[in-house]
Amino acid sequence: MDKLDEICRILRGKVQIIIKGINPDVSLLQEIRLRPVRPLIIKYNGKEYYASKSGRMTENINAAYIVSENDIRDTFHTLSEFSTYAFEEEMRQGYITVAGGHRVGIAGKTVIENGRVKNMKHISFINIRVASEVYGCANRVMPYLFDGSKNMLHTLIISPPGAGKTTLLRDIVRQVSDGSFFAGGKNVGVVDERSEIAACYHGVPQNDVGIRTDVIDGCPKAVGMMMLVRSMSPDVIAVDEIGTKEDMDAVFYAMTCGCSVIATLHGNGIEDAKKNRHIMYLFKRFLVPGFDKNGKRSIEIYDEKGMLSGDRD
Amino acid sequence: MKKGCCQVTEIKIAGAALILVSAAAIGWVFGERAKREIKVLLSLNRCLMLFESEIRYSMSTIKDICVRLSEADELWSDFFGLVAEGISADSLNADAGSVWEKAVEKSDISETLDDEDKAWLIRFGSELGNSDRESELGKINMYIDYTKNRLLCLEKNINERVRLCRLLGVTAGVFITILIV
Repeated sequence: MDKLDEICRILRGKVQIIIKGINPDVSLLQEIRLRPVRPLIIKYNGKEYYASKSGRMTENINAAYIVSENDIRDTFHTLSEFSTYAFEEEMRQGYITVAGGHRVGIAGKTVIENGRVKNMKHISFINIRVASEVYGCANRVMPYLFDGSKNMLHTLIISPPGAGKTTLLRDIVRQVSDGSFFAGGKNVGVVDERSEIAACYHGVPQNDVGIRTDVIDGCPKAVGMMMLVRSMSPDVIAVDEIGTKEDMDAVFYAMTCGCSVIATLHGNGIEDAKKNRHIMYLFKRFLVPGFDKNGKRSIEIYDEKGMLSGDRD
Repeated sequence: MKKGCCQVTEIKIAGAALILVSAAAIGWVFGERAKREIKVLLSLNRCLMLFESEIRYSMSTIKDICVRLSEADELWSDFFGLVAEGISADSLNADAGSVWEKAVEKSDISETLDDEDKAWLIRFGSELGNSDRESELGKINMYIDYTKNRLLCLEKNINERVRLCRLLGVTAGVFITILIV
């Protein structure tokens, strides 16, 4: 099944027919947005288009197909596989990962119990984010991630949302797991709380995370790290978006158990890491993906003292 | 002349025997059908219990549960196979309720159920998968209780029902024979 089929399987009715009619290049397709009684919008190659009734992409809003409430309801039932109860946790988080690793964001009316989101009902907004893997995006940082004994250094990836932290982490995981010119393959344990790294569907990673990678999916990070250390004896543990004290304690626990840790953190740059002495103490490499002045992707590499080691395109 | 009369009598006796045997066989078939209804309901009850535990412990989707049940050694395996197939189908307007209803109409096993049980089964399918875990479990448990009560009711009278069916078969055979012969 190709990627467009995977996406079309989620959609229903007229929306499915339109997207099939457009037949977009999936490598450039980024998002499909459904809002009730609003135009069907497609983000394609960094630009927004309206999807027309005749199955074309257009910039003319008058030609746009207007999404009905039924389109959204049917699409939601399809992506939840007619089993809303099975996706309660995902609905609490606001997204569902579907076959192919595509992430479907959902919004509607939340049901609150004891100040916590218990569930979501009247799902009215759906955003299908097409999964994309960038093979080799970590090639340039790989030489900096190992010590003289070919052990992986504790590494932290810091960047704001949308700069490519998770994509970079995924490619590092794949290369560490498969083995590269710089070190042989290692057992990698991935704690994928939000199903972003491996994008497991029915327990099977939809993204290529390497041949020696074990994934614990949908599990809170701190608990997942402990479980992996005890059960799978990984050489390297990868975890996305650490932040809480429990996460830091679990990272420390994994490190003291002899595992290398590679993690990501929301932040604007190395300065944010320098503000936290625990982070500076624990990690030996800092990678800061982002964009240079010309808007091209770049990765800054810092050593354990926070000094720039490399600035790569 | 006498020979011809004998032949008619022989044919009459053979016809009467045929009617008697057929009517008794029909009675026997109805009796067996009553027994089979219990087996079918018992199997449905087991499937529903598995359904319930799959939701309670694994939070599996309806499709996954149906696939699992279609592989189980149960009388309802083909029915659940039809549902799983229907949900997986890439049709534009399928929804779980209509897929379930079609499977009930299409499957041979549901023919064994009486109209009321069939209506219950269709209603159960149409409400499936639309609510949270607790509500789903509540619905399934309600239906499990329904099948249990039906089973109790059927099992209580099964011997009398079977005997009655067989007796009615034979009696009807005798009655028809007297009428015709």
